[in-house]
Amino acid sequence: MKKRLAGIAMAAALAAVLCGCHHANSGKEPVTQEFYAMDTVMQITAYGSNAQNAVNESVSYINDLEADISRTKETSDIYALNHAEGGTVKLSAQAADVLQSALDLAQETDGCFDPTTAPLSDLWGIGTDHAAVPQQEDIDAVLPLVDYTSVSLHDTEAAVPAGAEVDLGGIGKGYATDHVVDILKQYDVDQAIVSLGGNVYALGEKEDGTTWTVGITDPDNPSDYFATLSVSDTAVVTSGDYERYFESDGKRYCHIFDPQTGYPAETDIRSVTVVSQDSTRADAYSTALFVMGYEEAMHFCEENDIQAIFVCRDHTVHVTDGLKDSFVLNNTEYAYDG
Amino acid sequence: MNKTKRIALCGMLTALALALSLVERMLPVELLIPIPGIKLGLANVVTMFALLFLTPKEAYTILICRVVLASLFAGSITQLLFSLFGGILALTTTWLLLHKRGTWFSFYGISAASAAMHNVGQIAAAMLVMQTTAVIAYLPLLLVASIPMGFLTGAILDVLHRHMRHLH
Amino acid sequence: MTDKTRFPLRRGDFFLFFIIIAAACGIWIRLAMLQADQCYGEIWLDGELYQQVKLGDTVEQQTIRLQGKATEVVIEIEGTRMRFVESQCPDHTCEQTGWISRVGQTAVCLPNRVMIQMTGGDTEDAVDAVVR
Repeated sequence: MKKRLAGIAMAAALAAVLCGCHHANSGKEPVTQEFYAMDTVMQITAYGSNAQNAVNESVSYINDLEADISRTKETSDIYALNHAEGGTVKLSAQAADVLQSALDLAQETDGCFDPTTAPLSDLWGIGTDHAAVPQQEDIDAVLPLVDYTSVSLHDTEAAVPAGAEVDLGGIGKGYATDHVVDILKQYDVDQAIVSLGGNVYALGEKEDGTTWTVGITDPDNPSDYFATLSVSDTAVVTSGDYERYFESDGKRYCHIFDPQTGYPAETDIRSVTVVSQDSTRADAYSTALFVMGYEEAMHFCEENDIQAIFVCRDHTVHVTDGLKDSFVLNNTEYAYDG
Repeated sequence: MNKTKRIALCGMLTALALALSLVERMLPVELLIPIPGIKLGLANVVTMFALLFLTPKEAYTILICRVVLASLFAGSITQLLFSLFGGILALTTTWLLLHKRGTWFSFYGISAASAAMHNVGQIAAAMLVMQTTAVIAYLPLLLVASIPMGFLTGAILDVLHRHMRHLH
Repeated sequence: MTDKTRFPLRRGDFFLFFIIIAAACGIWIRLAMLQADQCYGEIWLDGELYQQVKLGDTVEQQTIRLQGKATEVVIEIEGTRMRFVESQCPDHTCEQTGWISRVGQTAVCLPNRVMIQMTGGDTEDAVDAVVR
């Protein structure tokens, strides 16, 4: 009888072990949150026991930041600054910090990245259904308002000339990314992939110890990617002419403006991807490099040790030396010299 | 045993199997192993008993009567089909393996194999009726579960057999 | 009485148990492999999974209509790819993005807060995110 019981117990244990395996295999699932903020879609996927809390705090952080720096929300500090008719406005510490970063980066890029191009995009109506090429005299009238040096910022006291406007959208997502990564780290999340409207940050490595694979959008076919990049602990940001644009007389006008001409930037570049530890910088640099055009941009990268990938109009792809090992082209439409 | 006795015994066994299968539905086995429709298979003890002490023909008759009646009391036509498919496959397996009982197999192994084939038959019927292969996902766990279930019914059969042998 | 103390199981019983367990493992592994290869098209509405559709070469053309945040959105699914067909939103960016067919690809209709993406499948070819 004892042996029989032992037999039954063994079989039961065996069954339990097998059932156990079945469940254990479903493993450590990441927390994924998709949400809409800053006029775009954002996705955070985080691993770890505290991932849910980390993601929740990240979402509320982004909402707070947006409430501070939005150009369209009437309660934001930046809205108040833009509508003060030249008067001085006291910003929150956070809004002042974003504005300071924007002004610093504008100076570094010699104005190729400029946080004051908003009057131009309003004039052109890009992203709306009434986008059109304006009269030259209208452009000339607006152009003097576009000048980052006219923005004054002392501690948190800021002022812009009447009519001029500050738009921190150009680095807002990058700035948010850096802070989200800090929040994730505070919650001991060491594996995550963050995509704030296409600005990607790969934190740590994948579960199997390999690096993350980030696809780079194909400018000819924006739902697809033409190349991949293996990264870890890095921000990847792209600026391209395919993001928001309109076409008039067979010509494409994109959402990135050249602060010199008042026209949408029209260079030999289709897209620039910047890879950096610092997402805020990467965000501003990608815009600036796009405006510069390939020759000048490549020179700027070499001088400032910026890692970037350029896709040019003639379908050539250029990669700075630091990225050659992690870059893989997988579309034969493009020619890669690396 | 004379003919009348046999018929009476068959009737009683059918009634017993029916009662067992109805009682079984009240047992919350699903809480233990979360698969829809998982059962202990107590009613199968009766058909296996019939196979041991009566003829295969009578065992099959009892099985079919039990399944039809059970679905009349509670259940649907699809359930009837599942049980019939599973039951016949299980009974056939038992019948084949019983020939080698004692030398090769014991009641435990036979019951487990029978329970496993019952599940295979049910899933096959479900795949045919519902025109989907998705239900096969339940099969691995059901198969594993058939071993402890087989031990349970096997133990009952073992005891029954030991006490009833002299009646034969 | 010797009968009672004798070990109740026979050699063949273990053979039967082995076959049952082996069959269970075999089916389970096969299913897991199939599942790993399975691609899904997901439709997300305002951050919530709205619908998940199995994709594959045998999947017939179908359209899914849903009410987005602003207007109605029409999504087409065909074989291993999906796209936005129609949206009444002002920018029509989503219609311009075209088909998505690789795991990791996404397309968004911002005004309607509808996103489509591909998941599952063979992870060899997949990307973890796409920068745009």
